[in-house]
Amino acid sequence: MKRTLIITAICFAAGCSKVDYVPDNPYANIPTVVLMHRGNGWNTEFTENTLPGALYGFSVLDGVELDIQISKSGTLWLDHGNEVLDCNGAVVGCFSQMSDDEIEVYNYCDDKVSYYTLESVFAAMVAQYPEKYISLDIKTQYCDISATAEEMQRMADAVTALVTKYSLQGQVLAESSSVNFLERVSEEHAPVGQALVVLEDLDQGLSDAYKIKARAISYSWEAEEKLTVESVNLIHQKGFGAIIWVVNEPEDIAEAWRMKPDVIETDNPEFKKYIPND
Amino acid sequence: MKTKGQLAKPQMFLFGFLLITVSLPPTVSAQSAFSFSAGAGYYESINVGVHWNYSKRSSVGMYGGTNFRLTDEKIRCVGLDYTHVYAKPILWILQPGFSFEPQYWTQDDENYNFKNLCLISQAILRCPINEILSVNIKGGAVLNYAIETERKQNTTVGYPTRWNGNLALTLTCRIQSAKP
Repeated sequence: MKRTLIITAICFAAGCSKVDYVPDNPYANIPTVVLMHRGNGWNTEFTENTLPGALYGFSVLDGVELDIQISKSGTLWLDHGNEVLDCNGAVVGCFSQMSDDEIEVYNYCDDKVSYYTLESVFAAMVAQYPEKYISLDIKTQYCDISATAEEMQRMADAVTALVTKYSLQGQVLAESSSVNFLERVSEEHAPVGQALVVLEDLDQGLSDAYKIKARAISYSWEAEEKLTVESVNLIHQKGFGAIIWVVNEPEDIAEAWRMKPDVIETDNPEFKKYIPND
Repeated sequence: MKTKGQLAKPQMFLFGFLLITVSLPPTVSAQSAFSFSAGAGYYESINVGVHWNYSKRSSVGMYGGTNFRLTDEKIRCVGLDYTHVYAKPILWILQPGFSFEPQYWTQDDENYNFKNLCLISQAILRCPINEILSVNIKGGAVLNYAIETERKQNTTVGYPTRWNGNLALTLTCRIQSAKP
């Protein structure tokens, strides 16, 4: 008890603030980059989170955004959900609890590939679209809650290794709400722009991003607290990049573009047609 | 720019209610005695309170505080309090104890208007001056949740500290001795 009192007294004397303020660290934002959401966006000729979908997205916009899972073997796969499905849509297991060989068993339905690896996209990107960008939506692994922290750190290591292998430094973002993932990327000084996904409270998001040394804020266009030109300027003033998702309608595209965020994610392949001239 | 936190109001009140009710013994009505308190604390601000001493060692109560705008912020708080102090001194006449305080507090300044709920868990050293008066030194940890944040400008960003320390000093005046 004496120790508690002493520690508390020291903390008190040191002036532990009731509010954590984020210091200024002005950030010169880059020209806005537009990424196709889930690779294919609205184009139903392609399937979301697949290699053909991603190649389509690369061909239309500045790059793509893809959802990422990790297998028991440590391979990064493209998919939005944690679960692996068979050809009838029934759940056969989780990516994180299945080896690559087990996933491959369910990977072909009527000669069509269901699941692609991130490495296949990186290889194609380097070969065909070396100047483009890619943002990875790192999905939290929920299948074994007790191992989530380790799984997210494993994902961070896998992303770092793959980006390094294909020399994609400066072209890959990783968006996540997982503190474990983001802290690992930060600790390892990985060649990845790590972004904290903020669903509602921008102030809490900026405070958290500062603590975990994230480089950007990934913010929903549909959030209750709407982004404004001033709030994007504030994000930049505090030293973070601003990623906005998902902006689809022409009037929204014009409004979001004028905010000058760093990245806009869209489903609309005609996005650039609606960019205002002013 | 007003954002509500994720902690629902029913959860907050249920938490405070449970904290008080589970600590009450079945013979509580036979031992009631009241005391008043006045003091100052980092999270309690300058405060006054009333407490129900349902035994010689334990009490439940409530308090309210403000900083009277002595700083740039306007701070207000109301809290519930459960305190247990052991009879046997650990040093000289100092009696050890502990307390739990669920507290609602607000801070309003030129940058923000914060509304928060926190739980203050503290160790206590009680120094009885006589049978009526005692001085309590409290120190411990604070776990804070922001219920609502309203940013008033676009140049400063902050958020209430999740874990923090607290230090408080109170003078307690017992107006009726508890029955044994």
